[in-house]
Amino acid sequence: MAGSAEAAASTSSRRTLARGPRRGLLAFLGRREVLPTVLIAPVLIFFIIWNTIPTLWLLGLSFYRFSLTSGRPPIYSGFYNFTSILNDSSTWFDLSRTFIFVVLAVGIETIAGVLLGLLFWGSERLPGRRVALTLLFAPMVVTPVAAGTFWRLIYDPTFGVLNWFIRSLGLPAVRFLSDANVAFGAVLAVDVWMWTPFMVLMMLAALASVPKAELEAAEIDRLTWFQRFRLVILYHGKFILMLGILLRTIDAFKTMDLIFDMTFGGPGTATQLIAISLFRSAFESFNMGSSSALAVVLLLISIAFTATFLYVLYLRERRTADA
Amino acid sequence: MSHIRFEGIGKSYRGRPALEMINLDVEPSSLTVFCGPPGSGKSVLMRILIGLEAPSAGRILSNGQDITRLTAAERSIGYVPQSFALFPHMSVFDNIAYPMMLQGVPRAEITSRVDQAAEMLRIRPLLSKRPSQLSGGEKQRAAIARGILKNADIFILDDPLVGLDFKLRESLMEDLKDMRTEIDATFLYVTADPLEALTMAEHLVVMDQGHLIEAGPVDTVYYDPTRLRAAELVGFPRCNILPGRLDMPGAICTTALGALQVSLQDGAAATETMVAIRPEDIAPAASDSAPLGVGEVTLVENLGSEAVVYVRFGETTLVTTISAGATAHVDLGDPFPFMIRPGAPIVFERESGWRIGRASPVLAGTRND
Repeated sequence: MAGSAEAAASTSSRRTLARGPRRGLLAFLGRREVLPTVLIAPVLIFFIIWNTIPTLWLLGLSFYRFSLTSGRPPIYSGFYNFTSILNDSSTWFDLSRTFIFVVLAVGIETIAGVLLGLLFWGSERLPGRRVALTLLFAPMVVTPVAAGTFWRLIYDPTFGVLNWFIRSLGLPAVRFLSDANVAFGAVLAVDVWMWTPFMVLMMLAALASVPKAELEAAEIDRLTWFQRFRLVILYHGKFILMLGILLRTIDAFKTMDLIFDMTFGGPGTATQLIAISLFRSAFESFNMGSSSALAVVLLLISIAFTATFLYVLYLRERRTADA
Repeated sequence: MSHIRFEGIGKSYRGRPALEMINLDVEPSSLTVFCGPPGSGKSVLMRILIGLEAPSAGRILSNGQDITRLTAAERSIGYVPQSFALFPHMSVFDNIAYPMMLQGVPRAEITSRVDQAAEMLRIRPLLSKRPSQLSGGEKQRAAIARGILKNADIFILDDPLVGLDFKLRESLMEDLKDMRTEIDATFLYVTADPLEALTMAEHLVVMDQGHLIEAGPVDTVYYDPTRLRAAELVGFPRCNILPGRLDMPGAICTTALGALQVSLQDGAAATETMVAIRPEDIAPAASDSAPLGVGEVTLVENLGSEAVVYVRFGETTLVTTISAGATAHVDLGDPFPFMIRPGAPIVFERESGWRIGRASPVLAGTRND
């Protein structure tokens, strides 16, 4: 018995020598179930501190009446903040304005992105293509506040370059940002200028996923250009394109900084999107309970967007697989 | 039926030549196989013929008409690409039928022709399925059906059997040959496999590094190649290539197998040579005759009906084939007395690779210089 124990100890020691010393922290990290947890922990901790806790805090605060200017402690009010938001007509106006903005901005950006993407895709051997692409992507990397500032200058009725062109054509100057009929379109145009490159990028990624052989087969089989686009390009690129539309929709829904710098929601409420009214409620009126409730509503709308897109995509995939 | 003529076709990518001066006539209603190692330019030549790429030089004539500048859609060519290129969102039936639908073929005729092709390629039960539900071989057969059902005078099959298992390749080769007899059109078939090339071809075109090195009826290319590289590339098992030295007068070529008496073509001179001997031209010596040499068996590969035997003779390893019945008498390390069929060795000039004559072994006492 003792002999066998000695033999076992000797074998174990030989194994240790063969593998080298693995003790303490290294041995602990070396365990299969530990290492992935350790690697993912920093991201998880960051996510919990900066995302989960604030969201839960926001959710909790939305059930309280709490104003930073009153000096009173928060008072639990149940769904009062939510019902008052839903009963406030200005919220509905802001929301509908936001939806119109989102539909127009994302729609124009998608169409322009698809067309420009096809243009750049079809001109792979054109000299200067890379320079043109770099210039095209430049607006996307500009800070929205900086973009807002220089577009405000471009739109300026007195010394703006755009009005200089308009006046040089003998037309009266346009008050782009102070005319209620024009301001929405002017702000929308800047958003389109800024984010069309993103859709071009997504379209180019979508086009890269299209098998060349299928395109060639379609060409040989005399499919029209539109048939090739519909049957081959859109079929293979739709997931990436849909992802781009989803990301842009969520982002456009949150548009704040650009408008904040250009019109601050004005003139009147002509460009007041829901994110601007949320900002005003939180940081002008300091009504934290009500603004938290509005933020929760916006979060739910964003989640609804995502869920709808993913559901539509999933349904199409399933239909294709079933057929 | 189309007669195709390639006239001085060249193609380069960023200054790197992929094809150089290809001149070739493809006879109407023929089956021409383009054979060569990967990167030899055969697929590029086909892509130029289809119209998917423009040549850097030269032109293509179809029935005397210059089609070089026509788009792929304007050329009446049926194409089976290497990568299937089936549309994933269409059923197999629709994949096969849509080129005909676009050509305005009546629905009843489309159904009947698809059924016929499906029957021939044994894919009838698969017609309602999507490409994602098919195996590699089934996809390939669907792609072949789509390519051949197009109303075209020229059909190009670009390595259509690559990646398929041996059994399926064998059966599809038979199918393609049957189909070829049914459809009166010009067929161009691309493959990197010399065995497949020899099995399929009526006419064989051998390509290497962007050059056309040999073209002609398959038997001529195999038994009577004019270029050393053609002898090397066409044939299975590989051709035995031995260095030699041709001495004049007397036209005796000295090789590792001994002296060969060369029957020279006009204008040949003393030179360094390469001698090509097909495996089937090296045979075990009969017991009652003197062998050319006695080697040692180093490897036997049994292929079923025959076996490939590798024989070491001095510093040289020779490849030969023997019938399956004879394998029982051949074992590793056994002595292998062999002889070479007179007139079979082909002698090439080493530097240019051009053929300069044929040779016969000089047996002891028969040398006449």
